[in-house]
Amino acid sequence: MTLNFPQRLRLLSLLGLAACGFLFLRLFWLQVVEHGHWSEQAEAQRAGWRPVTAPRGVILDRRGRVLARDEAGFDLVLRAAAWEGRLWICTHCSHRRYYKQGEEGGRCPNCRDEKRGVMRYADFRDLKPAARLLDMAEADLLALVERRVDQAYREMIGDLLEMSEERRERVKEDEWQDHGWRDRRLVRDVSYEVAREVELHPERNPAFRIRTVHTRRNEGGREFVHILGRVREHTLEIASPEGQKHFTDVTQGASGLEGGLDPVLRGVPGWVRLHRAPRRRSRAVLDERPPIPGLDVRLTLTVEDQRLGIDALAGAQGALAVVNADTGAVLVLVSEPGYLPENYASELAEIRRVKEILGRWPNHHAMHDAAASGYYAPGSIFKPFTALAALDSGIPLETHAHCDGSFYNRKGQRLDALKCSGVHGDVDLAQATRVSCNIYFQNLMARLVEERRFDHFVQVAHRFGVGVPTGLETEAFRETLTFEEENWWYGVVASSIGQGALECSPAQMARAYAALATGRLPRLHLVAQVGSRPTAVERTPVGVSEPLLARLRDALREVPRTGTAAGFGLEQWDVACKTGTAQKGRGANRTHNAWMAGFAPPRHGRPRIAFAMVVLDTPLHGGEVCAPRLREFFRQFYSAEGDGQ
Amino acid sequence: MRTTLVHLQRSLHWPVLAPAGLLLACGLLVLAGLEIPVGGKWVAGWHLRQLPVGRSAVAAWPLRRLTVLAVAVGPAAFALLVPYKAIVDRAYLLYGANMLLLVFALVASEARNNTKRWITVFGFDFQPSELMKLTLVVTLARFIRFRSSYKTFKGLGTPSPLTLMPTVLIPKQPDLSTGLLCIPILFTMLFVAGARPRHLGTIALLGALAMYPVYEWGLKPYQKQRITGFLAQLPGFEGRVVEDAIVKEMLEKENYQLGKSKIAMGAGGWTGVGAGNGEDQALYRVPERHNDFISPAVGPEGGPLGTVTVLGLLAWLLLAVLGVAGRQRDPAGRLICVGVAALFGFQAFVNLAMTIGLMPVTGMTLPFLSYGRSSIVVSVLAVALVCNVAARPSYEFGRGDFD
Repeated sequence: MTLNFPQRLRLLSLLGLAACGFLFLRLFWLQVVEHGHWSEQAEAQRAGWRPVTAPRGVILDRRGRVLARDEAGFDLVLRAAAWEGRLWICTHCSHRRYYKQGEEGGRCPNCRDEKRGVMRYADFRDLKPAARLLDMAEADLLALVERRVDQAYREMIGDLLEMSEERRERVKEDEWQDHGWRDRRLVRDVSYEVAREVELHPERNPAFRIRTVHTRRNEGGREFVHILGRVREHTLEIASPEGQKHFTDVTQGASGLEGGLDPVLRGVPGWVRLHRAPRRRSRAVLDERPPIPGLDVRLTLTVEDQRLGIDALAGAQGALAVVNADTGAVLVLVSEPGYLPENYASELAEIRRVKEILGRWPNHHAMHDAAASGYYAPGSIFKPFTALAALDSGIPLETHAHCDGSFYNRKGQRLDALKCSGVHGDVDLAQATRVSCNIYFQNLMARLVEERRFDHFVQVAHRFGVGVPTGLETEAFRETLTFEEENWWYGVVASSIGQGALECSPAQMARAYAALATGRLPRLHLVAQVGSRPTAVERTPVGVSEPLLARLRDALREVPRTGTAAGFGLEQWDVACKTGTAQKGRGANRTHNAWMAGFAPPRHGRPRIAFAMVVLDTPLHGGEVCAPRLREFFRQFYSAEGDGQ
Repeated sequence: MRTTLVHLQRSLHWPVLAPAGLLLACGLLVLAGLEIPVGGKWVAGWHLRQLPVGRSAVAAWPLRRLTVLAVAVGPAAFALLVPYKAIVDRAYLLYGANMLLLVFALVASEARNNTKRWITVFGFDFQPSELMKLTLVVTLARFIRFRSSYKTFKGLGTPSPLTLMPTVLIPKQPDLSTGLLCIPILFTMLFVAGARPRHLGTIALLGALAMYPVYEWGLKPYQKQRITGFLAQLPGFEGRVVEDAIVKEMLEKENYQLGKSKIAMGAGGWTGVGAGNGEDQALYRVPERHNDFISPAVGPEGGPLGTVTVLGLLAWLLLAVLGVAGRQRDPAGRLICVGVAALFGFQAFVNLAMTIGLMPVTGMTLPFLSYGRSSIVVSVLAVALVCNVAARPSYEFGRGDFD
């Protein structure tokens, strides 16, 4: 049956009406039957979970003074939607040219070939209001903006530039155009007034927005720069209460205490479920899970004591460690030279520059924490531990040695490198300690080796914390109680007087002298309290007989009275100490690392302390360099009111 | 001048103009309620001052729509005043010129977002592919009007080159949906002109069989993803179509627009949330809601009553246009009206179907409502042409029907 025109027209109309009916049915199904389901979906998409950054814990000194805290700041951000830039990249010569709309056209200015690779447009109209706000010239602001955009392009098309020309031509435009355009920080830490203006009047500054950031303020200053460490911004992937992935920027500790205590300081992000009505910009909070703030940390140090320590070093390169001999709480831990936290970038640049000149990292620089991570030959301050190891191994306590200034090996050959600084005649433990006779201690070590009890020496050294991490290290721990196979005997004997391969940090020596003073090796700690929980004190018996320890303590008490530290007035505080001078280099290049370490009884509210000071690269000896500095330190330390710590 | 105005007035065919005008008014109302982001704030479209957005300052959408309509008045008046037979007689010229414009757009125009669709004329961006749809209708009317060869199966091949050329060229821009629209226009005009339905059905079946090779080797990846994404959201298909986790994630992105559209449509309820409140409801999440996805803007605000109104207006327009075709004796006039009805009908059906999940997402606009300027101008021209046909009923004893 063939249809005539009116019939076909009618059929067409019916088909059209049928299609409308079909659409209507589907719409009815969607808008009426499934209305409930889609309403829920609409409600769900208006509401969303947003992470709430947890406030990072505050770091306080022992007296509650704030050393590091979070502070809200504002960054001026360049909106990605505003800075779509037009960039051409020539597939022949890789020449890149970034320019604004209206300037395009023509061939590649570099190789005169046709340009390929359209990206997008840049339109930075009217930067005057923003430039006025930031107190900058408009041209300067435009230059800054273009630098940021150029930087972004370099990141985004970096891969493209690396490719060969042939490969680049095969890369389709849509494959590398679809990059994540994201907002870029333009100016860090703008004032509240600037932030307010940009937030309240976006129509005047459409290219910018404000991002609130939490900045970590280091208020510890130079005194705590090696201890607190640094933080960095880190993007963390977290899951909302409904399991959706979110990315949030958090402050993360990168070094020092900020890094080591990051798990307790950073807290747990919270969540807030917001309902947003876009037109009216209203936001209602539907649900919230408050963040769990990070725990506050109280240190064992005080600002005043740290300042005393820096003053004691009096500008010399070196370090000072003072600890509570009974609990292991660190009271002073300073390293010079230091730097101000706000000068971190310039300081690092300077050190890198020096590295380029020298071809290696400088031996000692401002960013190096000499007190906890600096390892130096201890010199004579190590001698008491040689004596402890030897006399505890079975060698009689009343052992004498005859010092004629020379030391002889097993074959009877004189070793000039191991000679004594003087001729002391017959010396016992007390006399050898008082005058720092090398021969006595070298003989003890030689005897230990002869009687095959060298292992005992290593064990005792470990029990006093030598060659063992203190837990305060800010850099990688170095094992320093090692001896080379070649010239092993020589190396071992040299180590008995704190020379040779043996190296210790001031923190290790302070800990060792604390163990000597109390008979127990304390665990050193900088943190007195985390939240409301105080740090537990841990002490390990050194396993050396008390009479031996007592004999050595008595000997050390004589050092500031009649020994190598005499004449500096240290005896007024009942200080028991040992001086040391570790020699470095030869001939005209010879310098010393001057040491002094010891302990002092409780006084004026101050606890029993153990200390170790090192002054590096000095022509003088330990007593001459360290004793006057420590005298001044003790004078200030004991005149300031202690708090029983 | 007076004569011209009288002619113009007499040319206005209100049964066609009324639904078209009402649809334009709906479009204006919907656009006015949409919001655009300005400096981080959302500003309603009825804000009449210049607002800097993106790479150039654009006026608020309703204002731009009125500007475009004002610009369209001139060509529409021309299309009304010049007898349509004169236009039909010069159809091949128009076709040739339009093809040149298409080639020019493809070769020499500036690429925007990876497409080469626009040419700039006196500061206005214009899409030759939109005009091609109307030009094709007029050209096919010219070609078919006095022939009868298409009543045989072989004869169906004769008007095909006219259609195939834009069908092949337009997708290269790329604009696959506009290119493919030419085929149903051809089929409808042939059907109405007397081609055998079984012949047309056979060709459609052959076309369906060719779908797989075209899909596999002819489509771009994003186009394939749209089809897979459409299939994946159908009940029962999800597990079979999508197994790979990465593909699934990709399809979620592809289905994003469709998903948000359905939410916006379905959330309105019986009466909708009221004019201007759709943004608060769910509309703000729908991308391109001023353009391809404008029907979700009607849904939440007007509810089913609102969408039925729009559907009803479209149906009224189509029936009015077909009514003009029915009363017209001249074959070219009839074919023009049927072609215009096919153009509006298929375009509206595809657009509405895709926004409610009945078809894959395409870039096809909704006639008279969507923001596209070229689309509006061509729609106005098409209505003017139909009025032109209606104003000049043929008094000759024509060849009768297309039998």
